[in-house]
Amino acid sequence: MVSATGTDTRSRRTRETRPAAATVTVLGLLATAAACGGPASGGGGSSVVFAVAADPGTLSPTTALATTALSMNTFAYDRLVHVAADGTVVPGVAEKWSATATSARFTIRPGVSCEDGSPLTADDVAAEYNHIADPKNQSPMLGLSVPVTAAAKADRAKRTVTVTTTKPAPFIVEMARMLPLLCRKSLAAPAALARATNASGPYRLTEAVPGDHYTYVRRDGYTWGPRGSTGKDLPGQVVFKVVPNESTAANLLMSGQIHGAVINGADQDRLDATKVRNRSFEALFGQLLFNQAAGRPGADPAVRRALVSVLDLKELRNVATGGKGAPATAIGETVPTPCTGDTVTGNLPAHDPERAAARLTAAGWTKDGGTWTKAGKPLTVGLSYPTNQGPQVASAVELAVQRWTSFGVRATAKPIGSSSIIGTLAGGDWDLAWAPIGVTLPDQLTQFYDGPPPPKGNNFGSLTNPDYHRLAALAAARPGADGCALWEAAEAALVKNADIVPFVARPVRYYAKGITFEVDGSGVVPSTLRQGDGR
Amino acid sequence: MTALTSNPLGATARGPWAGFVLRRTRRLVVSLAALVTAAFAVIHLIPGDPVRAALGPTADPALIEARRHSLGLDESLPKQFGHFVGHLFQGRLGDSIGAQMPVSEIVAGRLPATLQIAVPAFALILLIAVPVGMTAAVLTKDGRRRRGELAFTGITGLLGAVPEFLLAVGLIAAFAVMWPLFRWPPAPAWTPTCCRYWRSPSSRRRPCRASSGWRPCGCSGRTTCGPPADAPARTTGRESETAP
Repeated sequence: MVSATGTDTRSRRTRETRPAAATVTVLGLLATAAACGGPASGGGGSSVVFAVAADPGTLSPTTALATTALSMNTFAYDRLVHVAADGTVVPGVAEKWSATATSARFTIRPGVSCEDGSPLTADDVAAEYNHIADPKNQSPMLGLSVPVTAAAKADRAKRTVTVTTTKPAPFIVEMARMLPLLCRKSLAAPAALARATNASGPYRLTEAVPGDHYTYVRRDGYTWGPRGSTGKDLPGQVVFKVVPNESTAANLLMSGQIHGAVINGADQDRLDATKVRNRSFEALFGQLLFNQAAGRPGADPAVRRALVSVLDLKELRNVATGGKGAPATAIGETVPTPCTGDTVTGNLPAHDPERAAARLTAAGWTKDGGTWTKAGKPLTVGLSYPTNQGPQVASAVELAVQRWTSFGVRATAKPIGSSSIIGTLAGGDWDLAWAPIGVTLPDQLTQFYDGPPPPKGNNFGSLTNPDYHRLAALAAARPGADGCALWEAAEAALVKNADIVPFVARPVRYYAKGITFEVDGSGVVPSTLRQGDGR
Repeated sequence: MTALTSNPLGATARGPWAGFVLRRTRRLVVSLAALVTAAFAVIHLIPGDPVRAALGPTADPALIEARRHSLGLDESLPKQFGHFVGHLFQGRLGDSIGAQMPVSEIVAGRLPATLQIAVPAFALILLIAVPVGMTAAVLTKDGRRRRGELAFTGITGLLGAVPEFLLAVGLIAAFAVMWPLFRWPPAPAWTPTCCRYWRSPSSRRRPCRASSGWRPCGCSGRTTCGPPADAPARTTGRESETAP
């Protein structure tokens, strides 16, 4: 759901775990082979098999944060509301709702039950809100599904849950689509759900073999899907099979041993060649973030604009994605998001090296012996980038460094090998970073581009954009999509000021054979999953 | 050997086996201590904050602090090391930061499968390696059969040097495809690799053994074994290329 590094390709992730790779390959070979006789075999029956790139780890809905776990939990746990691809909110377990900028009231549909037979009531929902909102419970879902400072109250007779916050939280309703609903008994011992379910949604977990596969079976009597849809058209069984290698996943897909997989690397080509169809959503793939802390080159707006103007972003886009990328239109929100306006096009500094030179000169820089200097100091910039994004990103970074060097900037590429570039950003020792940040709601971005820098906050680049600050505050005072125009103006201000440079988006593709479904930023939308080719 | 000569009295007093066991035990303890220390040090030496990486970019700094506190990562290093070793002796492996589950549970979930392969493999190794090695040692004792010794050390050295994943593919090709002694695991998942291996070294086309029990890959209707019709062989080969 939320990823610092966007959409890392799986074959690269395999390389990150080299020490065990040899063993894993051999065991993996046996595992894939052994699984063929198991639930994964054949395309017939009513079983649908998805490949997932990594073991989900814990599946406990209040602590799970891994993308795989979140996606699997959408099959087992229902939501108060769902959000359609165009951003409209659709009723789920809540049959109706209302919201202000600091509160929301949901009316819970009657007849919703959990796997153990207990009814899901307004009290349960309120208890879950309060559980996640309590800092003592250390739930990473705080801020994602439940707003910070939230407190919930239930009215049993009216079947309503009222959530109030002391800080503005304009998207309480939209956030609820991330809240996996739990019955009271589960909330008392959330750790028990690490490898089991007490489902409130259409599927229940019947078998969990960590590192191999997870089998979900459809629940009978499920009638509270999005817009009141039922489970009768859903496949009887859904299996998530752990396939760490993307090429293997593509092979399994082509030979009909699995039905769906995310394929982002070069294997797309042969899947496309054999007309395997895919569903995709656009995700921000390349975004540069300047460090504006005192003493960093990015603190000077002229330097930021000049560094961007020197680059041909179209060229970088093509190199970074092998020609598969598109210009970014958002600064990190992935579908389903309520604000869908284009905040990037026309706001990025244009490719114009002459203008860049003029800007630097006007800001007091002089070109001395082929290098731009100011007060005797050369213009030096290091571009940090995560190596797990694949060789194409490394090539794009090299190209940018080359362009800056020939322009007269002492530029270097700084590969970051650890699993997440966030650690580097929080550490503070960087000038410029390749750091796309993926979220679903505009207010989740304010912590990155406004407010206190680390260690007190997440404003990694120490940005102080007064327009963003003002417009975001105004937007946060309006509930839901009412604030979209203001959010979009605020985000455009960041791009115009060259605080961030979102320049390439890339589709995350879910390839499918023998099944149809819709996808959004959380993965496959369970209620849309159908067997058959749909042709 | 060195300890034996440096302490001949002790060795003879307790007999050669006692000395041997003592030496080996000492070595084991030192190795384990080094391993435990290294395992502890790694999490502090690798760049980046594991807690932050596990909680994602949107994690509130207060939450990160709270999690660090509950994991004990905010204490001094010697204290943390003390806790780590102390818990280890009690068999408490703690929780995985990434998976957010008890490590013992994660290990327990995977251990049976590992043992299923490792124990028979180890038994097989003992059954073959020890007699063969002893025989080779006896036959080549005192510089006899120089060529035989060279051949033996050469072959075992080569087998030891070849990466396991390559050796495994070779063994599958040999024992499941060339001479189908083992028909388990079922073929489909790995036949693309096998076919490639099967075909390319000799670059001769061999008849597909559709009748012999294993499913030929992409040979439907054909009598020769080639790249599978719906799964090009080269891409499966990549799996092993990324592994080293």
